[in-house]
Amino acid sequence: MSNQSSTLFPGESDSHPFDLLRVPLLGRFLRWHHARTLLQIPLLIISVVMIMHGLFGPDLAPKNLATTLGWVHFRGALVLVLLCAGNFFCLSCPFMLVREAARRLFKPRRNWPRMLRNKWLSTGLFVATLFVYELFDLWSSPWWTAWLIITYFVGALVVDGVFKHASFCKFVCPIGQFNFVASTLSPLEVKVRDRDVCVSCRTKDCIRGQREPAPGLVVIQRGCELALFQPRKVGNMDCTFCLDCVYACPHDNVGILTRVPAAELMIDPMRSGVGYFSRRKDLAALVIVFTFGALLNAFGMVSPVFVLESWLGRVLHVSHEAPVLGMIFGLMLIIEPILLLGLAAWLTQVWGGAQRAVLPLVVRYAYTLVPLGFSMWLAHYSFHFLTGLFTFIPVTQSAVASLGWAVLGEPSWTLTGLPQGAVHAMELGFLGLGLVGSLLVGYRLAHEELARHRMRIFGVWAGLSVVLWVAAVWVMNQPMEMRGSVLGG
Amino acid sequence: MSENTIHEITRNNTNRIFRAGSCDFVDRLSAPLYSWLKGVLMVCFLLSVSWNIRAHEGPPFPIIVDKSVGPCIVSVWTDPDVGESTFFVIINPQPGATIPIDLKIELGVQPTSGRLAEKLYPVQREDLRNQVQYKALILLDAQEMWRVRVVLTSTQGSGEASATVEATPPGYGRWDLLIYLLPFIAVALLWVRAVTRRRAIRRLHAADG
Repeated sequence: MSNQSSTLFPGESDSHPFDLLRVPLLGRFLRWHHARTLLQIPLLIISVVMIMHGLFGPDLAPKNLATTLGWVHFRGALVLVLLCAGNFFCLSCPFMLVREAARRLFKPRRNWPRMLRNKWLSTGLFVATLFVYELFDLWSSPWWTAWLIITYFVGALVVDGVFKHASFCKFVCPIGQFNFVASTLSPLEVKVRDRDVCVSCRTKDCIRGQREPAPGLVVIQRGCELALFQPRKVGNMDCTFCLDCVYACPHDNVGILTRVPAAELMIDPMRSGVGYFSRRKDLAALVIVFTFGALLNAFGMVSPVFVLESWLGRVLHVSHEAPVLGMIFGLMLIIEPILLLGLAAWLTQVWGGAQRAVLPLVVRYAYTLVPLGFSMWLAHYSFHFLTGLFTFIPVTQSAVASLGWAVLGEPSWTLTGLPQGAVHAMELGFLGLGLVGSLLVGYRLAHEELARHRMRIFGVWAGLSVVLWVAAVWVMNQPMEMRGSVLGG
Repeated sequence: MSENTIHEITRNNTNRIFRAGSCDFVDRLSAPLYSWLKGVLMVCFLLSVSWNIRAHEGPPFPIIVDKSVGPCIVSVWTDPDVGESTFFVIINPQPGATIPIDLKIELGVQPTSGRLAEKLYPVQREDLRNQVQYKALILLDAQEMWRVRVVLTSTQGSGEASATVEATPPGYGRWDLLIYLLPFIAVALLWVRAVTRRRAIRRLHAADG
């Protein structure tokens, strides 16, 4: 096996001391073929409850399970699990459970169109989701939140009903793209335990799957639907933690192993199913939207945004929110990244002596922003999650009581969450960690650059990270709408 | 050379590198990086301890929920810290009606012990998208039970509602911020060490051929 296909260097995967699949009970459970289904069922039930309560429950968001569980608990739990473990929410995705059930009835025949085999569509959908979220105040509308969940179910069903493999996960799902980028910071990765075993493997079941020897060649265990060939897979990008490769490997050679978070951002090998990071403009665009979208999403709920919207509306003589919001999105997701990243890349070239053109430099160094971007999402979502940690209890009590069952008692509306001081400190802690991560990635990338002044290059990208970090700290120190609680807009 | 032997050499070399206090690794390879990180951590620390901690207004909890008061339905949420407390008054119209244009709201607070006379505070309307919400900053000078009274007046009708709430002690201020930040600083240092150690191992491995 070539060095290029290695994660970092040969033999490294053998030296990992911790493998989640080796943990007693938990590891055995995860290796069980029906583990994913068992994890998906509770989330499917919760999704159905959210849809029903969103459509037929109270209009007030903080009293509705759709908005409370969706915008407070799901998002917070998602980012914290990504930070502490890995992409386990994709593993438990309820949309895929419905898809699996549907695929028992009809088999998809088509391949995903070649021109769409990239992240442009999903990046666009990611932006659209952020835009719709702000425009229609989804956090305050149980009805629209319920329809958003339904749309996800229908989307997954239609896309994967027509197209083979995991087309929805890899090329469409905005949540999935968010998870893929964020999981580059996760401490766990699905990867091979012993590379030598893969060298001698002749069947490659981890990618091809296992089939019955009979003429029908019926698949009895599928391989990776996202085209990630385990021996050449590097990092968590595009990995849904579905564990199909674990079940398919006849040598029990795939585990969930620890690794250094963000290390995969610092290298640029050929990645199975992904290619080279430095050549993927679509992936860089996704990363840029991920980072600046984090800032925008948090900015969208602090007081200055209302002032800015009002001012823009007056200046442009526009009374509708959509064009004003569109301008803010254009400013923060297009103009600002072009200016900041363009300037940084130009300085890298001119001042740092890098020999690449500006666009390739932007594409390569965009990944320095991933830790910072993820820290912004963490700070933002953990604020709502932790300050509203227990709000699901009174909302559930209220929902059950509205059905005429008083089994859970009167709603305890005084149950909220953790103290403000602790949560605010955690926000700053996450942002600080994000900055450190971005500096580490930037340092490593600069050090690998064929240039005369590598420290200057590092200085340029470190400067950009610090600028974004200061902006994030400023946003997080603004009075923030208490979305998910009664307070807010 | 067997894989195990390579690992052993790598491990020994790495340990040797990291054991040396004034080692080449720190001096040559990562000194600039450490300088940067030290600077960043120092900035983080200074920002943390010097800023007035007044970030988010939360987490408040309700003391009056959907009570019909005069021409409106009123909820009152509060974050009743000793010192400056935050109160939110959320106004919704009665079914089929609208919120009166001339609506005036006041919040009155008084210790239930009667230690002080009731003091009325004005409320300020918040600039939100689709919710009528008012905010008041109220001084609660001691940790005890307080009676809170919300008074609505308008030409379409007037009314009031009241509730009691206990003022809660404030946090430890900037010191608790520092305490809560310590684990993050520790994680950051571990992360830096892991990345630099990994790099050292790679370089040694490359040197081994």
